[in-house]
Amino acid sequence: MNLINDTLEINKAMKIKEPKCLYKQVMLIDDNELDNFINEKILETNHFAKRIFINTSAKSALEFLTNISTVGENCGEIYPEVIFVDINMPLMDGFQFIEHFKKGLEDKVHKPKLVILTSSVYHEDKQRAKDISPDIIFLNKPLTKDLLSKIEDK
Amino acid sequence: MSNTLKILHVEDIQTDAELVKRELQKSGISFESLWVPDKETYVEALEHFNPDVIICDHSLPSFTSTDALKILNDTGKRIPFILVTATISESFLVSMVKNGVDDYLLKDRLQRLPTAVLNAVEKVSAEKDKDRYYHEVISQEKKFRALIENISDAILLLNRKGEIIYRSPSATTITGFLSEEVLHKKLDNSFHPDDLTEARHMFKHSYLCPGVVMHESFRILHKNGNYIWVEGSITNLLHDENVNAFIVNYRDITERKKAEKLLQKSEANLKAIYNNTEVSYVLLDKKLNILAFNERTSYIYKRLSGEEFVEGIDFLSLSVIKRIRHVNEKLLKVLKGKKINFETEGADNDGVMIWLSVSLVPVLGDENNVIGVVVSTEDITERKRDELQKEKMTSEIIRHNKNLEQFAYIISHNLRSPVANIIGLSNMIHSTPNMKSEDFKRCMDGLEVSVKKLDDTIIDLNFILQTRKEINEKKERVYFTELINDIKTSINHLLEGRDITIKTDFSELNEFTTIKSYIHSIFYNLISNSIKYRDPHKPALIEINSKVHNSKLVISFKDNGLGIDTVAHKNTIFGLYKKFHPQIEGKGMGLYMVKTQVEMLEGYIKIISAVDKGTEFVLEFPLHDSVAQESKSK
Repeated sequence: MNLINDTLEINKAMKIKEPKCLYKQVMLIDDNELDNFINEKILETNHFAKRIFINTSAKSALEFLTNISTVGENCGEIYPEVIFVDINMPLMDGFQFIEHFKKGLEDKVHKPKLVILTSSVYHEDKQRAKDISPDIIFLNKPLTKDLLSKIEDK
Repeated sequence: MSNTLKILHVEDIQTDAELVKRELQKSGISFESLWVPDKETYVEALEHFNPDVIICDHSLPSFTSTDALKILNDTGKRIPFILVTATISESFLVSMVKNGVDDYLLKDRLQRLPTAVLNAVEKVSAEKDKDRYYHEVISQEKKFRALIENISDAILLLNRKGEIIYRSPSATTITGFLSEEVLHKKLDNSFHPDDLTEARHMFKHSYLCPGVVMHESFRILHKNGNYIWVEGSITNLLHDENVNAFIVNYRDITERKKAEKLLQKSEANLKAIYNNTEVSYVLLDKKLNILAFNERTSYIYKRLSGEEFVEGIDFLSLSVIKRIRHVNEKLLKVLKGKKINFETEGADNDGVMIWLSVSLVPVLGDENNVIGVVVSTEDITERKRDELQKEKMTSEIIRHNKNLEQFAYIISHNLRSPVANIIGLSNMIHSTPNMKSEDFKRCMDGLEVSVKKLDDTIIDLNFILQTRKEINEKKERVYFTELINDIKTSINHLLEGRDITIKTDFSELNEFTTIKSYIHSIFYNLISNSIKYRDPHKPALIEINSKVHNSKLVISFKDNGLGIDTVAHKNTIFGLYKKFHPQIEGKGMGLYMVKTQVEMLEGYIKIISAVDKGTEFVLEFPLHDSVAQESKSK
């Protein structure tokens, strides 16, 4: 609830008339455009974030994150606080993305929440995510309001 | 005896006594004489004088010469007794000689007295010698008899006809028969019927070779009806006057024979095991020469080389042994006391593979030094075949399991994904009261795409499952050149107007008996992949050729296209719905289907590729796989 209060205060300070949002920036990584559309709409409807960055490949997402992190301290305004990533993607899948991210980018400036957002109900995938880090949030598509609140609580 | 003769003269008349004395003195005989006139003095003189000779007058007043002789005989002494008389009747003389008178003289012929005395003395002395000798012989014989009759060996004497004429008591002990039951009967009767011929032969031989000792063992009848084993010898001493017989001696060896028989039996048992076992045993000496081997050895090794195992030859000179890898080093290690087990294989004369399990074991001597090597070899072909079959089945099960896992994965990802979107979209439509028409259209499009995707995936899965089903199609002969031409025609629209060259070389093998639709699908997918993922900046070259290697058909597909990072994607290249070039359209099913079909044809596929270095697929199919044929015919 602190976060919400903070946001409210920030909004008040910035005198923004837009509906209050939980996060400033979040990132969606999914190769399927339809999925991105659905996820974006749900995030918007639930006022989850003010800004949503959409990437259709894990590679381009990594490049984006690398670029903005070079800005250093000042990147706070644009650095995503939550990253949603699909597992099943060509060239680099969600797990590979997380590994790369944790190796090169995490802890440098911010520590965004990592959310695996997948259609997979395959148990092994969930276990694999847990093995990489217990902080990773594993969600099944489609994204719903209830699921979003799980991210908040974490 | 001293040289002086002691003469006792029995005479009642002194002048007569003087006369006799004078006569003796005349002859020059050295003597000492005692004259006794009556019985009393005579008896005393016999006792104390110890005469060498007695001269007695016949008619005496107190007793007669007959009495004197009797008295002498009663003492048991043997002293020459010479009678001197005036007259003598023939009947009296006969009775006197019977009683032991040695000589007699008439009184008027006394001149013969010295000769008579000397003769009588000599005669008695000779008699005494003879007696002594006789006693000696008797005692000697007694000794021998005792010896013969007390030793445990039986001794028989046989006459010329083979009849028993003497038998020592131990013969009774051994055979149970009493001497009276067998004496003067032929020895033949006591032999075991099976030994009779040999026994007769030996007698004949002994008869022909006098003096030669012959040894033999036979079974002879015991009184209790059983046959007992005896061992003995026979010597022909018919020519020896004193013996005039065959001498046979024998002893009971039944117990020993029983033990021998037991030993032979156990040896025979061992030999039977040794020769009937499934394992070949070869015994080598320290120089690796063959000392012995069992029957199985020839069977096992002859099938591999046609060579004969021979005792005494160098083990390493056999070509079948030489072929074993590092056999020299192995044997050297064994000679240093190590035990080595290994498996080896070879083809027999008909080209059938044979697997052998060999163990080399050092043989240690008394001082724990290696004195030889035992090579035991077992034909494990059947076991090995079973193992291979089992391995094949296991790998098949593993493959099936992997396929099942992959299916679970596909269902969770590829089926769930459009379903999740449908749920998401319908939720959105529901929960957004005043949706913009633009968003609503997108939702409806999204629903359509998702449903279509769901349907496609279901159709794909159905197709894959169909392919995986038992192969029902018949195998037929496929010519690669024809196959390539067919495919080229069907993909003409892809080739036309593009700089694509397909070079083929099927000179080594152009035909393959297989399931045509599968091999067609494999070729089609690989060729269309090469076209799809060609490098747009250079002319495409696809090279396809066939080879025969280790009785396997090897087909290579090589292109100069974009290539795949085989290190990064090594586990997913042949996976279903795996795509490596997102910018190029495709479902990610091609290579998955190729691999499935190659494996259905008992084949193997591998990829050699790198980004921008082109891609090569190498396919291997068995040409003569009897095991595979067998399992399929079941």
